[in-house]
Amino acid sequence: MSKYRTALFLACLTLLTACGSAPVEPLRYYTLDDTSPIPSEPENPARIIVFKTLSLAEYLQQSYLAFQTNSHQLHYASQHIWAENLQTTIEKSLLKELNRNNSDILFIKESDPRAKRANEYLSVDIEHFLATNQKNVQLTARYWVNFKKERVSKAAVSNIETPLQDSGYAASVKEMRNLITQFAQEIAQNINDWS
Amino acid sequence: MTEMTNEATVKPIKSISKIWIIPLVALLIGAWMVYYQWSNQGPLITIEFESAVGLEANKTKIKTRNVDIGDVKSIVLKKESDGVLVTARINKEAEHLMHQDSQFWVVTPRVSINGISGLSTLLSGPYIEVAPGKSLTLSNEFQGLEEPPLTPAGTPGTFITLNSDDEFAYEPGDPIIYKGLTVGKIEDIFFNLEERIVYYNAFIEAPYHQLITENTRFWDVSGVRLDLKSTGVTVKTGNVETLITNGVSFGVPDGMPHGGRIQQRAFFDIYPSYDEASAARFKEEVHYVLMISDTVRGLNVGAPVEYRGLQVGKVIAIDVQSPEREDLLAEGYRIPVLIAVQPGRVGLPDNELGVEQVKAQTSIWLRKGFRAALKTGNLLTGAQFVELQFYDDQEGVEIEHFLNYEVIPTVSDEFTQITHKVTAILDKINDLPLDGFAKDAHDMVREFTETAVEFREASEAFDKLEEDLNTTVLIDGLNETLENVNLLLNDYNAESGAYQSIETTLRSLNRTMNDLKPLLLQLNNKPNSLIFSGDPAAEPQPEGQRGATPNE
Repeated sequence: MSKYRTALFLACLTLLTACGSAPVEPLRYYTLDDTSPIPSEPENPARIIVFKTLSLAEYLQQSYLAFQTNSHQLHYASQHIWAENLQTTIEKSLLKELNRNNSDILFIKESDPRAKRANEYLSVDIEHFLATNQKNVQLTARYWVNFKKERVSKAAVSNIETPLQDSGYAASVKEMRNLITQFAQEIAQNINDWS
Repeated sequence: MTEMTNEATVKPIKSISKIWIIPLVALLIGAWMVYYQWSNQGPLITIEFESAVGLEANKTKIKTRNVDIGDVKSIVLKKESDGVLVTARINKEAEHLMHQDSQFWVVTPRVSINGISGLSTLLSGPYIEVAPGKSLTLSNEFQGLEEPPLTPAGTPGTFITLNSDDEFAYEPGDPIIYKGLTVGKIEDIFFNLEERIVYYNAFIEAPYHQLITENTRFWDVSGVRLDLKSTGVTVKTGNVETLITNGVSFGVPDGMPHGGRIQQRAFFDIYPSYDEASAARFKEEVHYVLMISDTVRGLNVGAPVEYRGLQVGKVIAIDVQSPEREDLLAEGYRIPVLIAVQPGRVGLPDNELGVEQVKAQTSIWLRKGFRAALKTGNLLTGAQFVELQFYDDQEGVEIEHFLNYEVIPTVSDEFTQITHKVTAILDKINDLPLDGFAKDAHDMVREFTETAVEFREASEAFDKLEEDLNTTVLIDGLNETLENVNLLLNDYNAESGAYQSIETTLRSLNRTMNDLKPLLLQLNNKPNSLIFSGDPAAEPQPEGQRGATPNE
């Protein structure tokens, strides 16, 4: 009888040992948007542009941060997760950057009540937005503006790369935030040129 | 000393003083002037008018062709007070215009159906117009006209006299038309009390007066003529003028020779229409009587009498009066209708010879089934005409007479024949065994009634079933359900909180599913990876140019 008890004890000990053998790696959550205040809106903007749609590539529509390990291979970081929907955080960051240093144009969300009387609409389609094994961070996107009155559309393509200084996902998210800033500047510049 | 005495010798003056030459010369000059004036003035004429409206002595002018030829000198009332005598001095050079048939009338503004005239006298005042005549005899006394003559004296043409005993009412000035052209006018009207005929004096202008010949016929073309006869409906009119006034047209009927031109004033009858005017050329007629047993409604005087579709005569009178006339209400009373067969219409001479030939031929035909019948010529108007033809089923009869006219036997008209046929059919129907039919029909009706009762019961059962459905409650329930559905849909519309919540939930679920996808793939590949996870340090991560981040 005592022999059975001993065996059962050793088995439970073995199982408990197995459970406790793996080191606990905490999950890390990231967001593109920072806590900087939202820039104040211009009092009498010359133009109001509605940020109508933002679409992401299929592989970006999940919580794990993606990393390009080679030309045609991605890796989802199991411990590094976006704190919110990537589409939402890009939208917020992009709007904040677009309105940051632009006193003539006010960019608003489609849910804004003023959107109903706007005549210009901005749409963005992000195809790639990730860190690569080339030690840089890449943003590839298409965007276009519909001018409702003139019934014309103007479109452009943006390919922005910035070197990744430090290793790790936190550093890549930081550089991705910088890419959003550059992307917003490029959009604002093109919109001014088109008008 | 001789005493000398000086005595004046007195001598009587024997000569007239020369000073008297002056008044003598003046006297002669005055006499010459009086004579000159007397010898160069025109005649003094007298014109009689009914009244002197607008005329003034020493002011009113006498004119012809708008040229002054005299002045009115005095206006006096006649002794009988039935007119006025206007005395006027005519200029010497116009003396030759005072023919016996010259016409005088007072020109004043006039408005009539023939036009407006004399407007110039509104300013100048009335004057007396003269239409010089053609008579070779001059005159100093004239009868003035109360109205301007429609045809001034001397106008080339021909005067004719038309007469009518019909109810025409022409006015002076009404047109006389030839093929639509107005070629003359009615001048004046005279009613002969003894003859009770209205005579119309008319004037036909040259050169159209050459159209008036012995065979010319005149007929009425007043307004629009709408004839509803057995031959159909015809609409006729003269010209635009006769649409609003009366008018007379004339011509030579087709098939008649023109005849010689008239040399003096001629008399013509006015016929109601061209057809009657044309028919009037047939002078000779043979009269027969038809004894009609049926109604004569729709049969008019003048209705055609036809033989095989061709007109050979006309109806002269309906219900001819006779001494032996029976009472209209007597049973079997036959209405005598007098007809005329005109030899000229059937190609026979229009004279006594033709009359005899018609009589002889008709007598022969009557014995071979020659009969008369009333036929309906126009279904719209119901107008009837007389048709003469042979009937094979009719036997020859002895010729009957009525008022010395031969009687042509009649056969029933179409309507009567139809009535007879219908009566025959009804008789056959009466002969049918209707009792058996009635019994069968009664049985059938009874069965039909039973079927109807069953059908009504079934219908009532269906109504009851329908009531059980309680459609009102059902509809109320449906309405309530639809309202609830509407409220539910409102709760889930795009702007509602529920919709937003659902959308957020779905997004979260979608994201979770996406997050689970790598884990599920990993578990599929390595089921124990849930417990025995790999080495986190072995997971690839972005490499920076400077190396790892300290806090990672």
